[in-house]
Amino acid sequence: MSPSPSLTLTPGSLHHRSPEHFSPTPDWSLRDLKEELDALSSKFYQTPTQEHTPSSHSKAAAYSFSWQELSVVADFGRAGRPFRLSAFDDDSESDEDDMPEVQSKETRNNSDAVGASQLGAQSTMPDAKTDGQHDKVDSLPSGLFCSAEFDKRPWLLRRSEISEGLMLELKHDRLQRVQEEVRQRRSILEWSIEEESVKAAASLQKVLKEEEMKKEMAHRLDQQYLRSIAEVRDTHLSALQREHEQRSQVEERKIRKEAEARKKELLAQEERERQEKLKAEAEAKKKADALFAAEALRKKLAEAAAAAALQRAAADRLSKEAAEQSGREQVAQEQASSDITFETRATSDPRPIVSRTAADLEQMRHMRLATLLEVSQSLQMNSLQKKTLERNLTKLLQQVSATQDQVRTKSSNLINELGPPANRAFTVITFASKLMSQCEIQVSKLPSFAFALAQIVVNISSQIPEVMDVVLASLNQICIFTVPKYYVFRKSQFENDQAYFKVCGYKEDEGKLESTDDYADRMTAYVTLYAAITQAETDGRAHPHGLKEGWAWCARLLNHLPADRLTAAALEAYLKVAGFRLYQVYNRSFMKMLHVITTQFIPNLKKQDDPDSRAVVSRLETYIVTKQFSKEPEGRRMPRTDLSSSFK
Amino acid sequence: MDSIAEEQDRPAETEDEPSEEAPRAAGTEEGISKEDGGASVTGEISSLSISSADDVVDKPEMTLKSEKLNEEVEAAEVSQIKTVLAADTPYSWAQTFEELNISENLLRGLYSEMKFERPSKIQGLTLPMILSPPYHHLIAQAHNGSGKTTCFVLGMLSRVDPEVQAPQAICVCPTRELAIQNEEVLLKMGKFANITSACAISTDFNKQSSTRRGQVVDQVIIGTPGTIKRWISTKILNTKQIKILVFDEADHMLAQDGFQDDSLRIIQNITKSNGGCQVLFFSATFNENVKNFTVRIAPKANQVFVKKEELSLDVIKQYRVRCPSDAEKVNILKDRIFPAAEKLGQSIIFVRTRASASNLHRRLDADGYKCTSIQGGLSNEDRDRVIREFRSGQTKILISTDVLARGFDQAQVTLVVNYDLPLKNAPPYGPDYELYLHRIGRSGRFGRKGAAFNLLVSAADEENLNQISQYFSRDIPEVPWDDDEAFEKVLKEAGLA
Repeated sequence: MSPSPSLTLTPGSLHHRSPEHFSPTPDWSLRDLKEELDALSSKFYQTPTQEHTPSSHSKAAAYSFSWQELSVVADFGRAGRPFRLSAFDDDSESDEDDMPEVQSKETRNNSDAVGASQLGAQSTMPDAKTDGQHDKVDSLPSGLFCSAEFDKRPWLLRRSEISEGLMLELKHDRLQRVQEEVRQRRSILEWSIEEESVKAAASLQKVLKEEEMKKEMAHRLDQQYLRSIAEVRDTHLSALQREHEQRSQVEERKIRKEAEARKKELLAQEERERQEKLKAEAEAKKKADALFAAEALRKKLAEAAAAAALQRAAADRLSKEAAEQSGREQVAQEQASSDITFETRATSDPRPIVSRTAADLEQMRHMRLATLLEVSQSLQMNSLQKKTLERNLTKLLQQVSATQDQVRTKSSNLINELGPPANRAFTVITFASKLMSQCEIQVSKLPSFAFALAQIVVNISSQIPEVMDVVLASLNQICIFTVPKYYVFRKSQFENDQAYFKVCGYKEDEGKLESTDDYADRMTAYVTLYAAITQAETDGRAHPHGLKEGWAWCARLLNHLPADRLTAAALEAYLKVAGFRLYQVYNRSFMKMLHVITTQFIPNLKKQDDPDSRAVVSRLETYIVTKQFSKEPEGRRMPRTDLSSSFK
Repeated sequence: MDSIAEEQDRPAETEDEPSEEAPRAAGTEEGISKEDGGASVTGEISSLSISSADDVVDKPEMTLKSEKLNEEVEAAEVSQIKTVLAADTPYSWAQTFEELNISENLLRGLYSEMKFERPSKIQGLTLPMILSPPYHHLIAQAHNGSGKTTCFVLGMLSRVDPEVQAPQAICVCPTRELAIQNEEVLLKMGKFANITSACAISTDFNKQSSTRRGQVVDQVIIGTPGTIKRWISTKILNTKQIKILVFDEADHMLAQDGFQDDSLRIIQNITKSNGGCQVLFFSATFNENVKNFTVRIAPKANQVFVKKEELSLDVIKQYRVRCPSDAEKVNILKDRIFPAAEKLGQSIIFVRTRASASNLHRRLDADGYKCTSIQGGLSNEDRDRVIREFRSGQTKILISTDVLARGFDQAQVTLVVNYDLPLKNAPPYGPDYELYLHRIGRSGRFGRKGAAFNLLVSAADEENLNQISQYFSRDIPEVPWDDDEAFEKVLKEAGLA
């Protein structure tokens, strides 16, 4: 309470400078205050003529008092005196103010009072607001009023005091009300500000917390990503390593082969040298013999002519023998050299038509198969063991049927059967060969069955990755079109038709080659299986030989292989099975590929005017024209289970 | 061994099938017509009442053919086929489908849907006869699976004028299954030809519904004789525009104890209404009586016959296995034969009774095989499903009583096992040669290699098989039942290993 008087005072003194001033923040300095105080005190002492202020106490007192005063109007305003002291403080202030200002203030106050407008009140009430203290505030305006009267006639008591008193009281009341209201509003405002700030603090805290959490999360994610990246990198690197190993194996093999060839050559050369040496020796001997014979002849020349003749005959014979021997040697040598050329002819395989990458891939797979084969041969297994495994695998593959349930069951059975890593080289190779048999017999007559077999392969290879390699290698081996590669008959490369057909993979049964129709059928079956493998869906895992490879296969076939009945059959078989998925995934590009087929491949095919290729041309055209690729091929969606096997 | 002896092995067995519904064996050329006279078949077998007894011996179902009819490989050389040409028409032998002058749309169907490359011998021979004016009748006997169905289906499709919206071709088949499957072939081949077809068969549920249908406007009608006759007599099938009439399994359709009356009535009906049309008779087997009868009702017909010895027995290797007991049979199957046959496609096992079918089914199922069985007790719907699932590879082994004996075409079937030998159910008892032929004809379709194993237990079995062997003058070598290597060897011979 102690600072409040000064506070009241100061703004009061300032209020005409800024009537709207209303902010609780004081804008004065201590010096101002001091000056003002000084001024006040000096004024006060100069003009101590302060009258009483009637209504500084309670309203009731003010009322009764005013009545008393009224009754003693003519008297001196003694009754007011005891009040003067309490009010002088304020009066001094009002004294200081000039009259019109005060009046205007008052009028304003009045009008405001009537309207009960807060704003009006504000202009006069700054002090009240700031300190919120009663006595001071209500004393102030009354002080003002009194001082105004007293300024005119300071010695006189007022007339019409009742009305004025009433007025005063009313004013006072109103003032208090307004003040109260203002205070309430202010406290509400303050409270809400406080609340607001608390809220702000809380939300700030929350934001901070969240930020922290986010940071942590990001960190965790980061780690996870790093880990997965590392994993991927790892698998990639291991794949690379595997590939490198395979490559190096290929290289090694090549080197070994070359070394062997060189060794053979060396041997042959040695042999030749040896033979030459022998020949030289023989010649030397022959010469010696001849010399000897000649000497003997000369010796015996004198002895007898008959003897000489005999001797000559002997020499003749000898020389003939020598000649014969050298002749024989020559033949042997020729034979040896011809052996070498034959070998070189044998090693230079007929060159297929194939894209380089496809050839490399095939070679790699082949190498892998070869190494596995070596491993499997070196396995310590007796034939009974092998037989049992073989029979089990055959049986399990036979039991595969075209329903999801059965495919799943048999996949896991087969994984178990292939399982033990010790014998895996053997089991995997056996599995692949049995699969080829099933493909030949079942897929060629029921193409939709390829989907079931392909799913089996994909399922197993997700557990045993080498299965995919071996199956593909087997496919490549048995069917050149799955590489895709092709041989064109050239006299220089093939001894005869038979050799050519053999290289192409025709089957020979009791010395009779299968017909081209049968061959085409069989090849179609393998390509169908291959296509089914590439388009098979894995449940989320990466496909070791998926659509990408399938697309590459098509591109290689169209780019490198000549169009004829067999390549067309392979292409058609592939599209029939995998075209649906290719279309889904590669859409536009697939359509472009079909365009290439219609504008290049088929016309090339037709140009040959081979009656055997008419059927396949018609099929390809029908496939494209009727947009069969937009329909799911029959058998691709296998039923979950069959319904008839439970009939008993 | 006759069926009486069979029943002695199974005392509980009740043979509730009347004897006149015994297996119908169609005789071959130098036929067994005398034996044949005794046996008879009545009615449409497929609609026979379902009997609940488990040990029922099923009657043979007439042909259940599949849609797969890739008949590219011919078993018989042309020189082995006897032909009699009616007129001097110089029928050429078509080497390609193009020569036949059939429409582009049909060619497309042949190549794309049927997967044909070129006509088989029988097709190349008969198609020019069917397709060139003046459209003589044709009587043709050809191997199972040599392409008969294609011949008459293609014949019907090419004779039909797609512009005329009226019935122009009728094909009559002995069973509803055969009708359905012939229609499937037709739909497939005619996929691009814009020709519609109707299947005139009785339905399970409501026989009335078929009679209430409106006028038939489909161009090709395929059905069973009863229903077709009814359709004609109720005037919902107008025969004025009919150009070609085909009898599939014609020996059965024209046999006195078969559908002779119905068939004749249909022929008469059509001739009366439009003054004659081309009639084709196709069957794998014709006995002498039927043949004569056919020639009589279709004089001036072209004829193509194959001699008995040349019926498709060459490509199928047949073996006998003497089993120590009935119980051992299943073990021989699953432990000796199956694991050794890596090139096994799908198999059919023929059994005599429904009980042994169920038993065998259970045993194989327990061993992990997906098998299915078909027998007389199944409803049409179930039967269709069994066939469909077997055909699509959802099941790999089909166990069948004799319902399936004839004509069921499944290219990937490479093994047939006679779990029980086929026997006649009526006097004179004994082995049923025709049924045997039809059974083993299920494998080795279209010249593909195949094997048939006959499992024998009793001396009677042995004797029956000897008779069969003699009848076809084929040696049926034995494989020791407990010798894995011997099984491997014979399977290799048969192309299954």
